[in-house]
Amino acid sequence: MAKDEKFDCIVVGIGGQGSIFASGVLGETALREGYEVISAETHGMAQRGGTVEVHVRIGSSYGPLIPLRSADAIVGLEPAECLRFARYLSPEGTAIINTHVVPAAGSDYPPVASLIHALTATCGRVIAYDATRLALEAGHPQTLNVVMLGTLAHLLPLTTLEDVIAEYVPKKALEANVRAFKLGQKYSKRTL
Amino acid sequence: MQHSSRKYLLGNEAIAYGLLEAGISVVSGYPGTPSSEIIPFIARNVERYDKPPHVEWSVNEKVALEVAAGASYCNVRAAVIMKHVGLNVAADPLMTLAYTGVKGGLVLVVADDPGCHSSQNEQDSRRYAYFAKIPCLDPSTPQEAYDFTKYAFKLSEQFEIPVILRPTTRVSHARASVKLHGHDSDQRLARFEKNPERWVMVPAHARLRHVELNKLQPLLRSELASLSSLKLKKSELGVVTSGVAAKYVEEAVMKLQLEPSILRIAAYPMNDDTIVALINNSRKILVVEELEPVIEEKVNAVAGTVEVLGKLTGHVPREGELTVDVVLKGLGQALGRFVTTNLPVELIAVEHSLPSRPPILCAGCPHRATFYALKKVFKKSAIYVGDIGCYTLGVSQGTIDTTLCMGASVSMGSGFAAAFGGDREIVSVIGDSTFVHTGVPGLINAVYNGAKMTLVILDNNTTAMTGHQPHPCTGETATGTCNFQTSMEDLVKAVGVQGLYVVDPYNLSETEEAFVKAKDGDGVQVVIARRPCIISAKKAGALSKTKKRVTSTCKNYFASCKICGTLFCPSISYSDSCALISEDCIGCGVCEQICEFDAIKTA
Repeated sequence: MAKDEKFDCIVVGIGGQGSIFASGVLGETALREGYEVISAETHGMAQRGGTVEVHVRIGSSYGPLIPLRSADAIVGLEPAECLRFARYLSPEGTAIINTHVVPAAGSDYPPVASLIHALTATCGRVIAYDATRLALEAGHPQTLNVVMLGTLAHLLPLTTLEDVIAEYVPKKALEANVRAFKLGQKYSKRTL
Repeated sequence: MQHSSRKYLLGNEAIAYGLLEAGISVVSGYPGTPSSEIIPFIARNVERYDKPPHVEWSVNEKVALEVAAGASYCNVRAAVIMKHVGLNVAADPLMTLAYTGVKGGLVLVVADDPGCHSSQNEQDSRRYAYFAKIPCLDPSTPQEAYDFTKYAFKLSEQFEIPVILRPTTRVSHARASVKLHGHDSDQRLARFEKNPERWVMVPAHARLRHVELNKLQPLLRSELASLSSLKLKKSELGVVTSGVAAKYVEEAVMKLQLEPSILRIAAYPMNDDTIVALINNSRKILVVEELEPVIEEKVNAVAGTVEVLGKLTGHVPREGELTVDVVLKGLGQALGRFVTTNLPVELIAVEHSLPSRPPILCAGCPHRATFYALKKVFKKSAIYVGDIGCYTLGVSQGTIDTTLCMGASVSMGSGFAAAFGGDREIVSVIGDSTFVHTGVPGLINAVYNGAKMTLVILDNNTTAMTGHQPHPCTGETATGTCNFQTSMEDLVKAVGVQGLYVVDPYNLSETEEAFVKAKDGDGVQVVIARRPCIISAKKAGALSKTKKRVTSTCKNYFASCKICGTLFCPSISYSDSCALISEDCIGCGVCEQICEFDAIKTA
């Protein structure tokens, strides 16, 4: 039943950005397409402004945590959070990073260009874009996670991700999410 | 749920399925990360059953275990759910429950938290299992958590003994494909056979039951041996591992292209035979387990001249959670190989520049206002004795000086008061759920023994930190039915406190006034600061109707006062020392009340 292909992916953001939903639909799609799948959600006190970090391991029978320098992709819904977990990326991996900053109260924020520079030195490919702007274009800022899944989709060994997203988003938000996924897809060929 | 199916489940949901399919009649517990999702999942799914189990949030873990024990004495299956530190609270009934044993299967799900993701310590529940001389099952994946849950009931009934199922954070909060096998046991009718020698633990009976408990030990060891797996290889190195660490070992040996013999322990008490078989086949043993060196001590006891490496030799860290990378390092060290991960210097440099995002109280959290007023009245010199909950975050406002365990704020407060003999102001701070959990006995004790202190009950009408579970003062139960609401005021009054004030923390002047009265009052003074949790209020739609818009006309000619900064509100930021109000402001209006320049307005 289980397929051979493996894909390790990290989805990271701050509380409320939809990391849990994005990783959930990834896992559900993998399960339906016959893969073994395991993920680890680390969200301690995320509802109170903290980081949400999810490891998703498609086709893996190991533990839920991805080892350092071995993730095939990272989806960073917020730029600084993306860099916080970039050490998990494989040297050949792909980073998909939203350039829209969510400031951290009481801390200085490094220039986004310096973050992207470090990311470029870390992995094989960087897709950097203002995904928050695309989410607004799609009709709702909350579709940010679906925009970024749209960009991730072409890397995945999965074929039905879009259908599973459509099934899981609230009915009234369906159209915006379909648009968001398609807008994200357009950026999948872009690299730095 | 009648036939086999595959689902993508959280470890805790897999455990909940296991409990339902095992035909439990009663499930109880107290919320605590990482165990909190189990009871709500069962509560949401009981309607599917003709005869749904009794599901309850109990007031604390001791009570929860006793509820489950009562049911189990009546030959029905019962489960009790808690986090590791909850077992400290439930330890009293547990130790003697091992003597009486049980009738219907009784399973304690106790979730450990290596790395203290959301806990005040990283104790190891396997130690409790040894202490109580009862079996402990140690799953490594959500699938095993499900399978072991069902097996735990059979084991419990076969030996008439309570069983601990001990998932860790990376099992409880892992999500994975889980194969469900369907319903395998029906609920039974309750029947209790009176038998004082079995159920009444007076010394004469307890002595005999202790003999019976000890007699069970070798039987348990041989029964549980089959759960462990031993793969012998032609290798000098043998690895012994357990729980999620067993998965890290699998991956690490693959990465290093090693083929050591591996013994995976899945249950306790451990059987010597399999450990001896591994030792006889190896020249060097590495033990990889999370938390305490429980297995390592056992291996050391039977190892003879074979070298045993692990936590006691520094090959595996004693604190924190393990990862594949930690295991890689330990394996490398054991083999005299240097294993390291190279990170680009550019990345390391940037990691140091990343902003920190420490958890803070939500925008509009009523606790923030209470803490502000508290600090203003009782000043920096008072000692603020804290407790377990969101409000521990009040440490940034300087109004939490200690956090020990559930309920300790009240009783430690009376200890501080006794030590200072009235020379210092003592303020204990506790949440509503924690007050009901173990704060009440401390309050009775403080009043009875003549403490001079102020107790502030931060009443947000929920157990907020763990995901908004109800308790007796909320008027709701685990299944949502509203049958009774304990009055916190009546409870406090009945204890005999000398002053009781109930305030709305959003109203700062009213709150400060109550604190002043409490400060000047005699004996134990109680202030209940009452306002629903802002997350509950948002979910209930209570905000959209009343939401006020807050605007700032702050100019830096107000001498960069930053008075509103002392609130540590995530909706307030500064640009050129002028306060800015962000869009996520919920309009509580507390900053308007403290601004001395009338620069913040709500409308």
